[in-house]
Amino acid sequence: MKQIRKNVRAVLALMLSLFACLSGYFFYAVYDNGSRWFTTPYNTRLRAAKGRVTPGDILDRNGVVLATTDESGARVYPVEERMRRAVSHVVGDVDGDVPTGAETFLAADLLGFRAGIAERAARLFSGEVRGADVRLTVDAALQTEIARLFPEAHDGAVALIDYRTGEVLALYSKPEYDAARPEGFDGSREGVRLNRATQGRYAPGSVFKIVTLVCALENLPDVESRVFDCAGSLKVDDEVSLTDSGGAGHGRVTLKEAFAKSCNIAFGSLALELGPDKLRQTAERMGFNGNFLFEDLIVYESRFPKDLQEEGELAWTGVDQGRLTAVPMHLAMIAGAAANGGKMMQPQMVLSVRDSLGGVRDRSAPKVAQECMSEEVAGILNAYMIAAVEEGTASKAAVAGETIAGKTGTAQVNSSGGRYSPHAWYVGYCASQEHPLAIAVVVENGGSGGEVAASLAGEIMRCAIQGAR
Amino acid sequence: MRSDALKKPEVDWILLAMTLFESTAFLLLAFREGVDFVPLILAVSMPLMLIAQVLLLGRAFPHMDRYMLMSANFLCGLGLIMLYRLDANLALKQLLFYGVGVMVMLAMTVFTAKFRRFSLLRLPIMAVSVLLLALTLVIGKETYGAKNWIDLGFFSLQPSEFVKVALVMCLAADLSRRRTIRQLLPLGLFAALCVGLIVLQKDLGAVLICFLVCLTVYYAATGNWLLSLLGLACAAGGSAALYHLFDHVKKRVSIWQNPWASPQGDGYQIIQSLIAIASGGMTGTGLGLGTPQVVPVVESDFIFAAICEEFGILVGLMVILLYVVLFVRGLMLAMRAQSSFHALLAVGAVTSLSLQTFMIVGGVIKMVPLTGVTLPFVSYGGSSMLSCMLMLGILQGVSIAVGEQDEMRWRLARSKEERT
Repeated sequence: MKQIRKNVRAVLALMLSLFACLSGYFFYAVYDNGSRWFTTPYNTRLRAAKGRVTPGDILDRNGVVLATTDESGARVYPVEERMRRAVSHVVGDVDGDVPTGAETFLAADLLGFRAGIAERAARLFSGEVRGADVRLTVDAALQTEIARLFPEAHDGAVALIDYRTGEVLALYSKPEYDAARPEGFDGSREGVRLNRATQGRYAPGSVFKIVTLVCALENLPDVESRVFDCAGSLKVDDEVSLTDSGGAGHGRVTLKEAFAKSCNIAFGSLALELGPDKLRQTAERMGFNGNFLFEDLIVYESRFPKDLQEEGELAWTGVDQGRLTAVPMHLAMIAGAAANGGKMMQPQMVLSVRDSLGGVRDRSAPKVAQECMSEEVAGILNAYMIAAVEEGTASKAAVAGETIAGKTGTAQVNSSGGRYSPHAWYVGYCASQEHPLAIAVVVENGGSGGEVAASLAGEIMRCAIQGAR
Repeated sequence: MRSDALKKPEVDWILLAMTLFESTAFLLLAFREGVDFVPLILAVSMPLMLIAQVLLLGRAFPHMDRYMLMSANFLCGLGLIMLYRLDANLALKQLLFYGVGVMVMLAMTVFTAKFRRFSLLRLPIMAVSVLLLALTLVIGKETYGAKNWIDLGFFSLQPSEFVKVALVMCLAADLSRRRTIRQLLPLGLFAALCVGLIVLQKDLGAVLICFLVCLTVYYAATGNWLLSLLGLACAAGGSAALYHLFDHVKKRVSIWQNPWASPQGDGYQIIQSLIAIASGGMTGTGLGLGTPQVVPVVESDFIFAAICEEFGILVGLMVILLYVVLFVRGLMLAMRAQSSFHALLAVGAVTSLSLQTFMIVGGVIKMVPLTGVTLPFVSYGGSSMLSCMLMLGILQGVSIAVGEQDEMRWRLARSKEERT
């Protein structure tokens, strides 16, 4: 019997831990994912609630009303068409066809599901249920300007954030749609529902050299003093050789020059020297392969291949191509981290929420999402990115009177339908304390990053800085 | 020792709280639209049932465990409230099952506490169980990929639910006195047949429970780590084999891994369940104010999601806590028991109930792959209710036996004291 007693004690301990795990997981899962589960377009409660509840308004950061409910109970978008189209992916639509838009993603607030006890009591007396008004961090006027500046013939995305607070100032995706005219929505163009700034997975092009550079700075102590001999091509193995665009070669360059001029030979050989594991570790610390499920928005994961073995692919990965994909918003966050001493801030889309009784809940305090790199490495990266704008490939991103740092990319796209122009990339930020802006721009099939993307980013930055003044 | 048999003051307070909860809930249901008299009656009768059981039965059998009794009855009450809110007809049927269940529980209590010659019964019980399972394979009907029901016209019987009870009793009877391989052969054969036949019915939740109950009772009886771990390894290997053999197991696993891959198809149920849970928040939408009926099979397997939506996460955690009370009290009984038969009975009953709870709650919140088992005492279903009540009866019987044994020892000690 004594033996049995001892065994039963073990069974008891096992059961208790099992149920402790159960309760812990239950609480954690709901706490962590609850609002995202709730706001999926598959939640029939949302659609049902729209019949009973007057949804709250959606405003931009300056108080411009982007969506409201009129007397007849219909949802209207009372700004002029250009602005309506520019912010279309940010605002979303009534039917939940753009699930990342505020109309769906912030439905818990808009439809009053988060109401407190006082508000619920007030509803009992008035009989009317009104949701909360949501004020976004996005600047609708600025975003309209971005839409105007964006090359007319091309699709793409722009993400502009405040790298100190994580506030998202603009999140533009093209093709757009018009929320007021949903009939033009379906047949028109494929991929309209996608918010390319947060969900578009693009080959990052030479922008990825930021990651390779950080990895090299962290792992190779002497790398800054090295000189690379670039003859325009480098044979990696029998099948693959690295080439520079143009093929002329940069001659003898320091690491800083190699970065500013985006030298494939130097960065390809660095990638080979570092090896796939170290490169992946750095990439993952900067947010690759990670889930970005934030309170106010979801950013799809950027991918760094986990099974990188071939030398040739490794060398190409270090400079751009391979099976790498990156999401514009994520790259804007990486640029922000470089400007912010290595700290990537958690992005925020909601400035404040005002419930139907007038109570205002401000956005939560800025939080660090990830420590991407040490402050020291961030400092060096900062200098290199400034060099890329001042004397390198990103010169067109310069803004008079401001210190701009950046990196361009030109990502080859090979489609079965033949060869297209490459995607043009620019990722960068304004280094000054008064204008803590970080930006990522991708112009699909736009051609050279240094030409198209950098000049677009420069103009956007100029607008944003002028607007702030 | 004797103090345990006396009523403790906190029992009154717990009873009061439970009564208030049940009455208010039924009153809410009664005045939902117009006046509905059935819940009005239930608002009075359910608390009375609870109080009567705890106070009257407590007087008749002073060694019954009141905490287990209250937990189980409150869970039944909560189930009825939720069912009435979802579908009044189902709730009335469940009320019948509950009433019969209480009777069955009492019978089982007396049987376990007083019947001393179980070894006479074990062979017939084994035979009947195996026959029932075999019969199910022949004339059973299939639901949700498993062929585990016998349709009796007025009542659908799920034999595997009752076989669990038989298994617990036979395991306790044989493992408490037999040791050699030859002596354990009939039990081993019986257990293997049960598991094998239930595998053939493709009722994989029941398979897992039966296997793990065998393993746990075996471990409690012998303390043999090595063989128990080997058994666990077998369970893992067996699960892997079943995964490759049965397509619906593969499907369940892939749904568990990523239900969002097909939110309108295979993943629909679990996603709706998660959405329902998330819609309630900490304090729930309020009874009748949510829409849990969009979750398929919400009345049986997924009732936990409905409770979470309308009563809130906190009540969901409280439900889990009530099961913890049940199994902690049960295992404490097993530790106090003087007879190894009683100790093993308690271990078996507790393991069966708590594993089942873990599997379904874990499945509903997407912690483990979903296995179609019911939430004990709460889910709709006659077989499930009766089998859970039988398990409770076993535990109460053990409680009485243990209490009487303790009282005897206490009296002996006192008379010795008086003599000296």
